[in-house]
Amino acid sequence: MLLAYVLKRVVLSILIIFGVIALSYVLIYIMPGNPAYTWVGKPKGPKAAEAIQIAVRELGLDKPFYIQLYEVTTRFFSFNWGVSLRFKQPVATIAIRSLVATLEVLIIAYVIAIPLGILIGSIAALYRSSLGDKAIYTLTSILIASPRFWLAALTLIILQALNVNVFGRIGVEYQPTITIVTGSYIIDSLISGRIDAFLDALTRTLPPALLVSLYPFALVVRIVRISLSEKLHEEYFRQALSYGISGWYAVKRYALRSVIPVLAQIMGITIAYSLVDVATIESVFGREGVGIALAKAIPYNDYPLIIGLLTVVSIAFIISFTVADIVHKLVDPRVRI
Amino acid sequence: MAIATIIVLIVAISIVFAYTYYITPSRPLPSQLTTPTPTQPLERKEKIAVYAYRDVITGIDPGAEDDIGIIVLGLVYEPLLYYNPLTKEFKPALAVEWLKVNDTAWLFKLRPNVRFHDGSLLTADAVRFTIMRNKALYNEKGVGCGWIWDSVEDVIPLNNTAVLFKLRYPAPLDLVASAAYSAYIYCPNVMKYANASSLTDDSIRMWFEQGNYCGTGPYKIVSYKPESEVILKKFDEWWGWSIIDNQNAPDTVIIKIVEEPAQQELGLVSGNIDIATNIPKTSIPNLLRLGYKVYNATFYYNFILMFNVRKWPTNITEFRKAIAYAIPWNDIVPVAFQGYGRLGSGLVPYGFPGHVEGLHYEYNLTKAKELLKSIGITDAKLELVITSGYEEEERFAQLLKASLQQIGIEVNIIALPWEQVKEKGMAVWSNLEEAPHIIVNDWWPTYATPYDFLYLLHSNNTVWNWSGYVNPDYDEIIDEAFVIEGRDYEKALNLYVEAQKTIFDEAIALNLCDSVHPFVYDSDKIRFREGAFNPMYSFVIFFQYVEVLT
Repeated sequence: MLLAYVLKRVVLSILIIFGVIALSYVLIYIMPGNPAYTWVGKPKGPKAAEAIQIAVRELGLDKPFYIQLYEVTTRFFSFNWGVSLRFKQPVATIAIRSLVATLEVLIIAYVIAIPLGILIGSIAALYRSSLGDKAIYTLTSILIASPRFWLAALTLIILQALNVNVFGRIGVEYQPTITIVTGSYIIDSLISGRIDAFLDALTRTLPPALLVSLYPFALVVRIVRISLSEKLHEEYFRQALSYGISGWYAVKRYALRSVIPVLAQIMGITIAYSLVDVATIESVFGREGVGIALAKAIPYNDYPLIIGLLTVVSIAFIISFTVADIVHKLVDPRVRI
Repeated sequence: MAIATIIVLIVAISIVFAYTYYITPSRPLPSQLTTPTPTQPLERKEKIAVYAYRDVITGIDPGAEDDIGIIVLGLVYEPLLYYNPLTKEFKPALAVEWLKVNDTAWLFKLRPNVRFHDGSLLTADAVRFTIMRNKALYNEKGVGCGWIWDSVEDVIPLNNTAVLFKLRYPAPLDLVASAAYSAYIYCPNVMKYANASSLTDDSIRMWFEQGNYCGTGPYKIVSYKPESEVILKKFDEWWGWSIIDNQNAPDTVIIKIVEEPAQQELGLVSGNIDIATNIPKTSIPNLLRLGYKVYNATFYYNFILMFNVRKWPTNITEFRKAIAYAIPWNDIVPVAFQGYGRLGSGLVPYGFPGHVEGLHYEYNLTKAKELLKSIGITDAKLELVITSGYEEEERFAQLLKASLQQIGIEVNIIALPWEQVKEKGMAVWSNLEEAPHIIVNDWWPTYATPYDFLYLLHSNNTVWNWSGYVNPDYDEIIDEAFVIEGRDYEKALNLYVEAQKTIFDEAIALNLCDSVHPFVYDSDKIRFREGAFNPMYSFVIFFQYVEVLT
């Protein structure tokens, strides 16, 4: 069964990635702008026009569209992601370092959002219709509806006014002292044994992570509140209470278990939304990341980089969906994946 | 159990956050600055300078790069000479003496005991290798600015420190050798490092672009992320440290790519950026009040408005002149450039060889209307293409639109990313329907020759001649001037002036403004020495001449 699941996932992943590549390339193909101009730079002098022609040939842009698409696709599936037209660096290098920077924020955001959301959601469910529950409901409504980029700008201004330095990923004074291993300053500062640099990197990551966490947090609270409220009225739960088991213990031991599968599935999808959130928030905080890299690649028709970044993001989605499925299966053995 | 874990996690995060709040360094207020007690031994802190630039680094192959990469190349590599057209002075770099032997031979004596970053010695062979690769790259692939060495037939190493340039035709080789692009000397070992089989092997370029380097400059690359930041470290073996004696030169230079002007401002105010190049100009007075300083750098960087001379109605000389008279010239510098610039004259910027004064139109709407009447045009719709994100161009476009409205001409402003602007400009040769009536291009030179600016309108230049202008007489004048530069420089300059008058009379292209670039910096930390800027090398800060004070 597990083998069938893995095979199904692999086939699905290949199809998704193929779809991403094909769709991206079609869009780039019909978009205004010639990728050869980006690749060739600013050629001057009598050979300038020839340089563009050479670039067109080098990139295969003189071939029919279906051949271009075939070549781009096969290259990607043979793990030759090529070179960014704008930055002249291997696409894989840029895509991975951008993803690492984004994941730094995203992982912390979800580490905050999920447990905190479950906690607050459980409280709201246990004390349903109380003032606290109503306050939580209102707060989550505001959080879901609030424009994160605006909150990000506001947060940054407030923190700057309070002399809390959160611009960029790490203080410049620490940057030269860290050995880059993973590309994550939080991890690399620990590897380099620099606690001060670690704290600095963490301080700069926390505000954007908190902002990214707002949406999943609010969503978790809502889901847990509603799902748990239903469970609290079920027979098994009321019987547990009648045996003298405390409400909290019963929630934790019995009711929450049945909520987690739903939560896992929804969180898998929410990560996709959060990636868009991160893209805008990391820009406000002067951080690197997938969103920033994409924003720099798209206007310049840097199709290898655009495809590379989108593929990396797709892989991240697939992984998050798979993890959600596995969590679902672990929590509820009846589920067939 | 799970609830307890969650609570512990929240508490732990809160503690870390609260702790970091107190330990995070921030820029102290001037009143909080204290003088270190002399009795306490001070550990020498690493001196770091952070320079924010507005655009991504487009490449760092010293033989192939022709754009923004200059801001890195200028610190990692050195040419044979530096030249400052403002003072008309050459400054020895890797060459200590140079001599024009005759019209077609130049001798350069190299600085002895100069080492490349890999430890190898600078030799005449390295000079030959560099120039031959740059020439070959250009001749075979059109890449880079190897065209500057077009006059060079051969480079002959006489011994380790003397090199003879044999020319095909007379050329001012001292000016060529001090070019901002394709004149940086790099070590021949790159062939070995990149496993290259020929001078134009792509593997060399890819080797450089991955962040590798082998120059003689005062800084080495330690981290290269062209989309976000470049970290440079002091090269202790640089020959010049003992000469310039700058104990406060930065040990580390971080070039940060911060595209948004507001973010540059935020970074500067928060202390994360020391020198910013792209602060909103309206914010500068406030920053000055806060104690920041501004260095107004003059580069030969101008904004040229080009008329499409192949499309109605801008194909009519009187119509173009009418537009030229309707441009609110007196508002360009104060409004569009917010005071950071000088009104353009001719096509060549002020201070650059070949610049000519008084070659600009005056704002005269009556004359503009008369000209339109003379050709029977009462109304027209024009497309104006500018580069998105260039606030100067955006403000100018609004000025022009408002002014032309008064003479019955409607302007559709189209702001596009740079590469699409270029495509629109080139369309004048291949797809006239797509080409706009008016387009604004920004330009800076490769080396100190007016030809660089005037070639923009050469009929052979189908990449940059966005006017679609074809005038064999004009081509002949500038080609002749270029060829005689090495023999009769004064006559060449006169020809360049004549060519600019032709362009002016026909109103083909107009230099709107020679821009001035305000570098806003934290004066508590940064001090610029003489030599930190050279107008020939646009946007390069020579950090060996910068002092980091804290």
